[in-house]
Amino acid sequence: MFGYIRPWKAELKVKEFSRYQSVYCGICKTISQDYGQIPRLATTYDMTFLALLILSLEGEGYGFTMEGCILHPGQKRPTATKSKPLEFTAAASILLTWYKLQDNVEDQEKVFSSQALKLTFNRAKNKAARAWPKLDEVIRQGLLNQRLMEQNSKEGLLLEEAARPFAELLGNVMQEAPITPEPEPQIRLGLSFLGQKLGSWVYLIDALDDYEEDVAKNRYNPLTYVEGEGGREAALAELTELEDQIDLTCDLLPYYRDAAIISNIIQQGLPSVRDQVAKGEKLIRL
Amino acid sequence: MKNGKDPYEVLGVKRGASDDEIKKAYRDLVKKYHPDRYKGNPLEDLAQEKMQEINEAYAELTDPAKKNAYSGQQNTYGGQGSNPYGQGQGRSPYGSPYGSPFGTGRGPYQNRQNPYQGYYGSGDSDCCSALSLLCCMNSCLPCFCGN
Repeated sequence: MFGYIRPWKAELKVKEFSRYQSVYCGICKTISQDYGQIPRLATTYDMTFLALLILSLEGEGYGFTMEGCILHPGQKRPTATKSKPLEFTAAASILLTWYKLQDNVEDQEKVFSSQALKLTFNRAKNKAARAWPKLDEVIRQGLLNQRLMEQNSKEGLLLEEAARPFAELLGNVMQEAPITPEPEPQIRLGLSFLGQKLGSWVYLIDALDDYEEDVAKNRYNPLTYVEGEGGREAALAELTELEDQIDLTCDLLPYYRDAAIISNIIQQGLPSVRDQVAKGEKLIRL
Repeated sequence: MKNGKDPYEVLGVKRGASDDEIKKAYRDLVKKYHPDRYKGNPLEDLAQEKMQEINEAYAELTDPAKKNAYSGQQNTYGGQGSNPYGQGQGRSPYGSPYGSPFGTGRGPYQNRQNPYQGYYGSGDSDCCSALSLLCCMNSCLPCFCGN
């Protein structure tokens, strides 16, 4: 699975991309070790950013080894060694995927495939929920709130309001992120704030990406509830504003490492994804 | 500066930057860290601290006496004295006051001897090593020692 929060690869140094890739593969391997092979499908660029951010704030650095992979036979890839932040993001990936699949089933969207995949994720979801009960609760509640918001949406909906449940979800996820040593309370609040802004951004970019299809298939899309005809324009304006807030917040976090990659993702990755989605271009695998 | 930071690094300009470059970098940073932009952000206090630091750095670099003192400390790459991984034109890859974008959180040259120190000199009067002399001859770099 892909994701929207991704680096602008052309501007990354080779060693920076290797580090990014090592975190992506680290999450994937952690999922395979803790939850089995099929749940590896839950690995996303969004969660890779989350892991990278947590790892960049950790006092101790992370190492990586060259490991083989079923998906890339004959080619060893740098893989970050298993750690608490990777276990956390692996669990978050599983839980988000499972609740999303459940949401699809309840919305009667892709019922058969969602139901089938959900069944294969059941064991992994239960295990992740047992290991990270608060995280499970935060995600369950967040997606429930989003569902309620979608059911109660009316003409004149503000996009900020529509995105709030998912914003709070990601803000709460950031609040739960294991960072050693524990950062100062102000930094923790900053991370939660960052999570909220990123949550809003992801929700709105997804809505923008699916807009045409949702309209054609008469599915829910918050952009259709914006007053007048300017749903797309309103979303683009809101996304730009959010990118600014995200950038300002990321700029002041106390990084120990990988700030250049994070800066690339925020300052170049997010705007370029917004541009591509606005033009209707397909996002490709990195 | 009070906190011991290099004002050039704080403003994200190279050593030897012109007054106009310093002013432009300063204005960009002031715009960026303006308190209005951080309203409602839990990191507002940090932005204020950053602003103070920027103001202090600008005050130092616009004071000719202090600026000369700093310029005398040039010690790295080719007379520019700036860390090659540094902040470029005032827009850092999150060169936060806490850490560097690299490795263990300590910039490559922060806690150890700059590997180029010996070659390019430290601004001391006997700094002219073979390499810097060669560069002087090729006119690609100014010589720090004034010889």
